[in-house]
Amino acid sequence: MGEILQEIGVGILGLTWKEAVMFIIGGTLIFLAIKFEYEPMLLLPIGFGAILVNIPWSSALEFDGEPGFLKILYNAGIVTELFPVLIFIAVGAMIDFKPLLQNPFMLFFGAAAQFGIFFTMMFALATGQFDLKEAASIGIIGAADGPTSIFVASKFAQNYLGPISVAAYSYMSLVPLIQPPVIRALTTKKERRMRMSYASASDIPKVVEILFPILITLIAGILAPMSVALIGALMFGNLVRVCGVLERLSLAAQNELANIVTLLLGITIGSTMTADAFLDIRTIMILAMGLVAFIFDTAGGVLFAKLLNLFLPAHRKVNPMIGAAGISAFPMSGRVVQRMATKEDPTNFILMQAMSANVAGQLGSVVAGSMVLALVPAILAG
Amino acid sequence: MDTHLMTQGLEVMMLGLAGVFAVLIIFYAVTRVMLLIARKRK
Repeated sequence: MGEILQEIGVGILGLTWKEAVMFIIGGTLIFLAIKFEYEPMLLLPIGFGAILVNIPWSSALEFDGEPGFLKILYNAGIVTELFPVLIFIAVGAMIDFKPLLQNPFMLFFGAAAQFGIFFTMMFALATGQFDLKEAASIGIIGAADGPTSIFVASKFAQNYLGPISVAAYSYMSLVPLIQPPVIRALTTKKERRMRMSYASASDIPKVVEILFPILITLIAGILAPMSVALIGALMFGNLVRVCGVLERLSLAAQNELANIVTLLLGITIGSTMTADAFLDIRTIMILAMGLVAFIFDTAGGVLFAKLLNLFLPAHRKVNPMIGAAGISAFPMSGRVVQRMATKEDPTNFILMQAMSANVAGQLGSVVAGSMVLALVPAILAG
Repeated sequence: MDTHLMTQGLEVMMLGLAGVFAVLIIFYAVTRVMLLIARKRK
């Protein structure tokens, strides 16, 4: 009896206000996931993981000097970068590149909308609170791409993996709230009503669909070998989808693989949110800078579209809102742009163009992540 | 503010943005060529 009371006492006595705050944060993430459906597949496991890891003497993390299941998952899936790469295979199997192949011009918007990454990195450096690797990891929140953020943070800033992941997924789900005011501030009503022509995606030759993932992997890999893990996994998943002979594997990647890894990834990220690591002024700064990244991504895309319009012939001018869809948050960003276009003119349909830019953003974010991974160590060494 | 760190950050920014654009421009060119060849053969 005495031993039982002692065991219970250890847990109660080990509880401080910091753990209590983390329980509230974990509970809030679970609440947001269930009540408002903000990225529930990630925020719910992250929230619960945060609760598990902050229970004093939690056996989920460590027990009798032996690693608990969360620690084992962390070492197996995050330290090795396996989880984000597996997620990329699943994402690749879900992406339909046909709208992009029909409008390859939209690839440029996938590049322009990565501006927020680099702006935010400079902003983080200017605060004087972060080194270059940490600042780059914070900037990558602007990739609007969870797996890329996790991949870069797990290489450069494992201590901030929790807040970076939470920021990346939270703001992705808040794209419908973040983007419209920025787009409205940078465009006129006339610009938002601009129409664009679109050719059907049905006449893309199958051979192009198959060659696209292979050639993109080769090009990106040769130009930036650091990108092979990310681009390679993404394009492998896509090749499985489009090849036409691996229907079962494609469905498995889109469903079983995506679901299992997402489940494990979320709770493992939650396990990094210990009170000592998370309750820090820098966590709040990271969350705030994530918002800055999304705002400047949107602004970068819109302003680039406006710049292009200065040089494009009248019949090829683009609706500048398309630029905002160049972020990787698929399909939210494309839908936001279409909703805004319909609001200005109910007969204006630019959804397919917006989706093309959105798919380009998925490529752009991976390339940007790879660039950061390659450049930062090189510049630090140089 | 550490000026050396800011300079390094600026380098990453310039080269990073240029790199992203360069890679995507190549993607664009390759895609256009692929489509052109495939449609011609069709």
